Parts: sequence; structure tokens; C-alpha cells
Amino acid sequence: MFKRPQIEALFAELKSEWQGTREFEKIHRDVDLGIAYYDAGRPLTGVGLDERALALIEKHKPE
Amino acid sequence: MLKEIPKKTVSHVVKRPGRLHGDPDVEIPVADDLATVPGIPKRDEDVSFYSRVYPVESQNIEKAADREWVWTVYTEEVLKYRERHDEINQPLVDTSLITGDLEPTGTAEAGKDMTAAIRLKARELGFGEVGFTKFDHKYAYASKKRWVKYEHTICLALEQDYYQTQTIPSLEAEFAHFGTYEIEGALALDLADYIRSLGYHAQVHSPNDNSGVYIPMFVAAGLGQLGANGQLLSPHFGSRARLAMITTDAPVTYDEPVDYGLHNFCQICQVCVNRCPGRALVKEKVWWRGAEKNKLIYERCRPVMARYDGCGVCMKVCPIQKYGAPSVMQHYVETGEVLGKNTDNLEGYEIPEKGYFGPGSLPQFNRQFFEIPHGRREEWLFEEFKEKLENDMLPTEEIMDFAVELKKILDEGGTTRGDE
Repeated sequence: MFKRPQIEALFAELKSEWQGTREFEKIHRDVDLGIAYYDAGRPLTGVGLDERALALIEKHKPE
Repeated sequence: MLKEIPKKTVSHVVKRPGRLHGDPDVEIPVADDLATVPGIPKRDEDVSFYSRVYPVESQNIEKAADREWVWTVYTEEVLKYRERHDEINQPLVDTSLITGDLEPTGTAEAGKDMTAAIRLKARELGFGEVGFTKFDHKYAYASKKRWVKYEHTICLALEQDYYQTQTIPSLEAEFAHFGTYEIEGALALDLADYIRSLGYHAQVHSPNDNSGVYIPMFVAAGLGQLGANGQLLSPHFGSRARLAMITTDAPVTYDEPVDYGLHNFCQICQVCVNRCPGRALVKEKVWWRGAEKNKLIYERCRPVMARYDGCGVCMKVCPIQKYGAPSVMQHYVETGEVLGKNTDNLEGYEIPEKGYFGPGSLPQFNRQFFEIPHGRREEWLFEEFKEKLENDMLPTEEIMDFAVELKKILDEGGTTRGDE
């Protein structure tokens, strides 16, 4: 399950990469939804999430 | 690979327009155990009785004492921002107040239903939810009952910024909160201009000078259901929206209330109830003025809101706000679980000078924290005066001061203006 340190690191990267761009909100929403699915033990593929959001989740997911 | 069998059977599927104008329609499956009634369970005779005998009044009047007090406990940043916001917002509120008197600028087409044209224009302007219903005078504030001129109501919800809202409680989230009011106030005036150009009257009910309790009319118009946090939960953004209305004499067709499954979902979810820093939200539903609802405790909410950047934790932690009803309800049907519940990303928040609170942990406040002025301004003045009299014989001078202050308050009268 994502805990605060992983969430903070993920969103810090999201903001540094995408904040101020038109894509930011879409990626942010999909990151939130993806984390919720991950925490619920559901697969993240095939549910229409943005690839960039998936990459961030993959990089920062708990060990 | 075999697909897992859904945990729940589906009672019905709600179809709604997409979040943004031009987005494809969405489908929201409502599980059997979440289905109740379209809108909200209510007893019409009770709603009528309370409206007649105990008419509702704006918080800006009924709770004027604490609404004045909040300005004394705002942080310096919030205070500056609120003053700037009020400066920008004031002309929008002033203009809205007189829109009912403006004459149409175009010529009406006899017999033509205007619903589709108005809905389209409202969506193009950016309103995320648009619905039509009758103005229900049972929900009009006592001080505004005679102000409302036209019988058809256009209910308008404007979504506020996603990212900023997730930072609740924060000054940044307050930018979203008040900034959305500023945009909405202007957009509602634009939509009213458009309706007048079609040949009809249009009266703007400002989001910052409410004519009544708006949520029941939004529910009647099918735009959402009342959440356990006391806010309208609409399908795409939950309560992350600001509400305004326009009343008009344009011929329109009313929408119907919808059962999104939220009335029961909130009882299963309970995240807002569990996470409220002030313990202001109540788990069980009660019958209140003829409607079955989770009745929040204002006196436990206001002290937190005032001191911590408008709080809003109940908005931030709502899964419908964060993920939208289509995803949340689909997940519930498939798993029988509430998406995001007990996770840090949904439930965690930080309170200034108190730290971070993840699932299961809440900040502590002492009893004095919740002792704030209550009632109308003159009622609070009386309360304080009574307390002084009980404790001491007051000198004539102080009694005179009380009388002068009371006269001043009574002369100023109440105002419905202010954020809700």
C-alpha cells in the first residue's frame, strides 16, 4: 500500500515534470485513480489509465 | 484468463453526460444494496410544515456572530486573500441582485422549449452540471422569499480545480474555493444575458448571496444526491463544485431526481465522517426538516474551518470527489469495497502546526477551541451582556454602551451575503 513517503515522492516528481502544462490535471487524476486501484490490489493495465501516470506509479510503488 | 465474478448485482445503470462539454456520456452502475429512491427520502408534509412554521434563514443571518468572529482568527494570508476576494466578488454579487428586474433583449419564439438551448450554452460556458426544476419556495430563506421572481430554476454547478482541492486544508485550496466563486458569479451573469437575448427574464441567484437552500433543488434536478458530509455529491466531482442558480420565465422542461446509489453508499463509505478533524459529521442519518440525512454539527465544524484554511477535509477525502462516481460505483459492484478507503492517498491530510494525520488518526482540540460566538449578532451581544449582569452589577456607562451597540447592530440589519 502507498504510504506517505512514496506518495510525496511521486507527487513531487509529477509536479516537477508536469505542473503548468495542460496535461498535469489529467495525469494527476489518473495517478490518484491508479494508486487507489493499486492499493485495492487491482491490475492497473487495461483500465484506461494514462501511460505517464502508470510509469510514475510503477517507479514509486512500495517495495 | 477467467474474469472475476462481480461481488454485487446491479440494480440500475445511470447514464449522464461527460464531465466536460463534448466528453462522451458515462454510465454509473448502481449496486442492488445501494439503491434507494431517486433524490432523497423525504416526507413532503414535514418539509412543508417546517417551511411554514420554522422557515429557513441564511447562515449569514442566523449565524452572523460566528461569521463575524472568523475574521478575527484567520491567518494573515487568508485574511489578505479574503479581503481581495471580497473586493473582486462584490460587484458580481451586487449585479446579480438586480438581474431579476432586467428586461429581455431579444424576442421570444412562441411555444419553443428553451431547455436544450440553455443547457448547451451553460455547458459551453463551462458549467459541469446543469439541471432544471421548479423553484421550491419551501427552501427559500425567510429574508429572500419575496425576492425570487420566476418559477423555473436552472441549477448550475461549476467544478473547482482538481489539484488545488487535493491540497486541502491549505491556502492553495482556498484559491480554488473562492476563485471558483469569482468565475461562477461572472459566468452566471453571462448565461442570464444569453437567456434575456432569447426573449426571457433571468434572475441570478449568486453563490455568495443565496436565496435559499440550494441543494434540495439540485437533487430534484437530478444533479446528484446529498452526501454524508452535508454537501451535494454530483457524479463527476462529488462536492468539489460551487453552486449557483438562475430563475427564469423561459419555457423549460424539468429534469427528474436520480438515484445514483449515494444515499446508501455514504453509509457504507463513512470516510468523511471518520476523517473530520472536528468530529462534526455524524454517522447515523436522522430525519431533519422532512429529509433523511446525516446532519452535521455546525458548532464543531466552524471552529476548524475558521482556523485551518477553510478546512474542507470532508470534501477532500470523499472518493466521489477524487475518483468520480463511475469509477467508484464500478469498483463497488466488482469488489463490494469503497475505492480508496483506508488509504493514505485518499484519507491523509496535514493540519498546520499539528502534523500529518493518516487513516485512523485525528487531531485533538481542547474544549475551549470549540467555544465560539453563536447565533445572530444581537443574540450574542445579549448573551455576553447577560453573563456580565450575572457576574456583576454593571455601571450605567456599560449598560449604555450595550444599548448603543445593540442599536447599531439592529440598524445595520442582517445580510444574506457571504460564502456558504
